[in-house]
Amino acid sequence: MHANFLAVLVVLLSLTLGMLLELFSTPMLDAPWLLVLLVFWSLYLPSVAGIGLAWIVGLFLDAASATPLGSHALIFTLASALTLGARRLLLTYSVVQQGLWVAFIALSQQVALALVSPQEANAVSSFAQVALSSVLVWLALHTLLHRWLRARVSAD
Amino acid sequence: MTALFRGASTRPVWLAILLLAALGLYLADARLHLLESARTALLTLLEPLQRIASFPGQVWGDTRESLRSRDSLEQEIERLRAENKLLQAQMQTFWSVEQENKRLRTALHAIAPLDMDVMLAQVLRDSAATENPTLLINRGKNDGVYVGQAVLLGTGVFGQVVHLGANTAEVLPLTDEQHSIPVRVARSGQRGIVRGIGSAHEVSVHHLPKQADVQVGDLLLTSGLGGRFPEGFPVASVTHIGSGQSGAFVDVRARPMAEIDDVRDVVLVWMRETQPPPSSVQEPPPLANPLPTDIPPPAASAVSSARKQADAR
Repeated sequence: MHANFLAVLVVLLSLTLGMLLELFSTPMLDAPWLLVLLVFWSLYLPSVAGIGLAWIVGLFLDAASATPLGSHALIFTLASALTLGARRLLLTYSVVQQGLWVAFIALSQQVALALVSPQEANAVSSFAQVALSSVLVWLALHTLLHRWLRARVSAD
Repeated sequence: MTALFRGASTRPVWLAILLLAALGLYLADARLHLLESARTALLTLLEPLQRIASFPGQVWGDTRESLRSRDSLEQEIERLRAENKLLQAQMQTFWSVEQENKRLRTALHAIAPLDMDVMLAQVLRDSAATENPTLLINRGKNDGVYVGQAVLLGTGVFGQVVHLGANTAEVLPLTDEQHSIPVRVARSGQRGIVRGIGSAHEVSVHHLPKQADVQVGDLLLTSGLGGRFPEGFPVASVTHIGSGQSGAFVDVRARPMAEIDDVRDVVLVWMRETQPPPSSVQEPPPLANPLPTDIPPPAASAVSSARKQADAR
């Protein structure tokens, strides 16, 4: 119970921080923070974070980024569902291979956003930047939380 | 609370419900524009985070201001004094012209002229470095702001409010591709529509026929058509007139009068219809203070009171 409460707290805090980073208007911090976080938690804490959470977070990002409501919710839900579906396979991958999966998801998000939100089509960051930043965020998350997660996964 | 939304299990039914709900929201918002109140509620919930996120940018802006040298500040004060004198001189004629305009409108049984109320708003997040084309300002529904409201800068029209929170609002600049403003050429009265093209320094002007009387350097003013923007505010200045022979309209490009890419404060405008003046001759308003610091224009005084309110927050 205590461990689960801690996990919920960590997930919520990380998503709050991710939303803050999405809201910062600094090019240096321009990365798909929330998407990577949701993929990360879907992979390592599926009992805490899943498609329902992804949907809610996506809705908030829609409001924050002035995109049509539902567009990020749709993309995040699909990303989370895909990750949960491929979870067993992804867990056998190395962190770099997982990073490539995240880059694939992030690039898919850019394409989907350009389709569902045409006004973003000209504003979306370059594909190379999205791919690189998502891998870097993934590696940073892994480095920060790896030990805690390993202990948790073995406990599960 | 053992798990957040235990739908973590990817049951196909649950997934289908969420995807359909997202799709329904998308259609209701993007196509039917039915969800403005839901967006307002979400933006209100996000307001604390948005204020925190805007804090570093504001600190950086304030620091940059405070680090400016004494010389540059003195130069700016001199420039503002000179500008103020010029504006005061222009105001001397403005009042009499306005009265004459009202008198003529009354004589012609024209519609009542529009007066304006204004309020200053601070920019919490600009669009320069983000994928989001809108700006976030620190005024919202609680301040009486509404969707579609005109937003101005000192030099001209800036854009309009597109989304509302309780104490924040998102403003779409006129340079965005989704934005259009009905305008008229100040010199010839020719009407057209200014549309953004995604560049901060250029807009396109549509619906000007080939035989239209328009020249490079012409000033484009809001025409007031549609009732969204007050009439007569500078929007852009014509920079290029295309020489293409195809189509019935001429390809015109213009430069926005407002500096779109470096904005810290904007002015919100409320338009209200006024009663026509009871008599054709009125005394001018008493000068609050003789020259050189006379005649605070109504808009400027309202702005300064709004600035005081903003400072008090």
